[in-house]
Amino acid sequence: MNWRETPATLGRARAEQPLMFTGPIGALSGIFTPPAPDASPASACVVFPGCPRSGLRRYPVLAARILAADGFPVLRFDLRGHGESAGEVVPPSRQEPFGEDVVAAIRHLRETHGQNRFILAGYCFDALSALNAFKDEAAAIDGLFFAVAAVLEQRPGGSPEDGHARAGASLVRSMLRRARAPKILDSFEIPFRALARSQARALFLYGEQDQLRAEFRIAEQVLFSELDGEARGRLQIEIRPGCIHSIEGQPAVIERAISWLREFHPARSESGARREPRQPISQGG
Amino acid sequence: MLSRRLTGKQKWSEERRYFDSEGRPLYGVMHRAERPGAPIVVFCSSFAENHWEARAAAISAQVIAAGGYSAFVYDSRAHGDSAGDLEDVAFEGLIEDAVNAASYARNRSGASQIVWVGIRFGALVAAHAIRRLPGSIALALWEPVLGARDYFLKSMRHVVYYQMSQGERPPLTVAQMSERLEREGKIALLGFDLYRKFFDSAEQVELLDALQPWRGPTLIAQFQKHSRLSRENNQLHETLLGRGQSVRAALHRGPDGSDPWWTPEIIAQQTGDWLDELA
Repeated sequence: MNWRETPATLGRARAEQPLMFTGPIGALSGIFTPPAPDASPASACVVFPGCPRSGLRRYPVLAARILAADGFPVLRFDLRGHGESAGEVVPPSRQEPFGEDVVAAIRHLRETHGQNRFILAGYCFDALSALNAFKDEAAAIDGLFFAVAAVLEQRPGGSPEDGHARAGASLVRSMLRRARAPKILDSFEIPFRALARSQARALFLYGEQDQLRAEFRIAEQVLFSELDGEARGRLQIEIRPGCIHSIEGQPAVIERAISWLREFHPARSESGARREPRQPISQGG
Repeated sequence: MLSRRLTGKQKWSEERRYFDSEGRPLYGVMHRAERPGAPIVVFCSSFAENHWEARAAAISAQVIAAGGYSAFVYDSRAHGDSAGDLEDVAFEGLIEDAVNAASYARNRSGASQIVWVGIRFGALVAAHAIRRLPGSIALALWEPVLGARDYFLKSMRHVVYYQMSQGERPPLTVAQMSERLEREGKIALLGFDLYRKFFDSAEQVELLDALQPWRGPTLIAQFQKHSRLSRENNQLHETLLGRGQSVRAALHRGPDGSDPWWTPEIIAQQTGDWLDELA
């Protein structure tokens, strides 16, 4: 993908509107990129939560401008404790994603920018935070791009600290932990069920070699297997070769996010529908 | 976008908007304080992306504004929320952005004097910009990069360390990365791509050379766990003292077990106190 700035994306940069809104523990900071006035308008606003919003190599910034040039309104914003948003710096916790921040973003866009439909996109912790917005705002969300996030309460084999443990006692604890049935995170399962009950489409993206892929297999076995045909048609799983949960893997993730989000554009959907019927599930691996 | 805040000692307001630099929109945040006659503090952020340094600047600007000094944080071209492609950036462009940012901030705040805070690679940029903008009265160097070439080579070394920490055998040595940069015009480092255009434009830049004409008060803030100045920072300190300058050194070690960049409030407060003493 060519990430170079174009006249169209530079035009969207010039139109960007910094904004602040109230989150659950303080002000959250973001940038709203209005859709290009000469583009066919999209029907939903894309939201990128970020830690921080500029992400690695500024891909979310570039993606926002590319999508806005296509006609999407886009918000990228800093989750609490990151970038310019209020909050203490704490390491991201898979047990406590910041779904409330994403909900605050949705409500702010609804109240101040007249946006009513939303598509959320996130990578890793940001994806888990985006998914969690379904607990409160499922009816307003049309889509979720969910890339390589944690699914289980603990990573298989224990936490990173345990991985370094060499003492006998730690080893025994670790073996016992492995022997227990893996438990899916409440922070994944509860909003996932809300997603399944909603009308939203979703794409779950992992790399075959990602450690988190092993976790996601459990979700496939436990949660996806329970879905009815209608829900399975909406919730896609895509497994890429290699590892995408890495610095090197990120461009492919963002590129896929852009291509998937573009499918929501009415013009794209119409031309796609004329070409061929949409495949409900693309599952690899 | 304007909001009103009351933090710490004094009232200040916050304004986020884009401004123009060489025909390109750059993102900036103005923290406008109300102390009459106070200089504005302009933060010059580092090159490429280090999210913790950027957040440290955002938080520190608020602390300094609460101390009564207007403060301005901006993203250079091809950085953060600003426009531009990293592929096109040369060192001179970063200096132009710094000068344009400071001019814009000074006009918008009504201040007549400027205090620069150069963060990491931004210290090299600030050291050049300070010579081009009359009214620059003081310079704070936060964990300054002393030489651009050394900074680039260290960034390459970090790639090797990262790959080893992932249990991988690094495919390229630092020397091979340098060769690839020369041959292909670009190499991927941690979190950013380094282009030959930028490398060539900055390779010879040294902080002490750039500060040769500078005689204003200078603060060196070290963000490290050490309990004394590093050899390099000590050399910088001694050299500036030898030039007859007023130089203050501050050690920012951060709380135990955390990165000093996560907790910039204390060093921001010390920077504000230093400004009070200069007044």
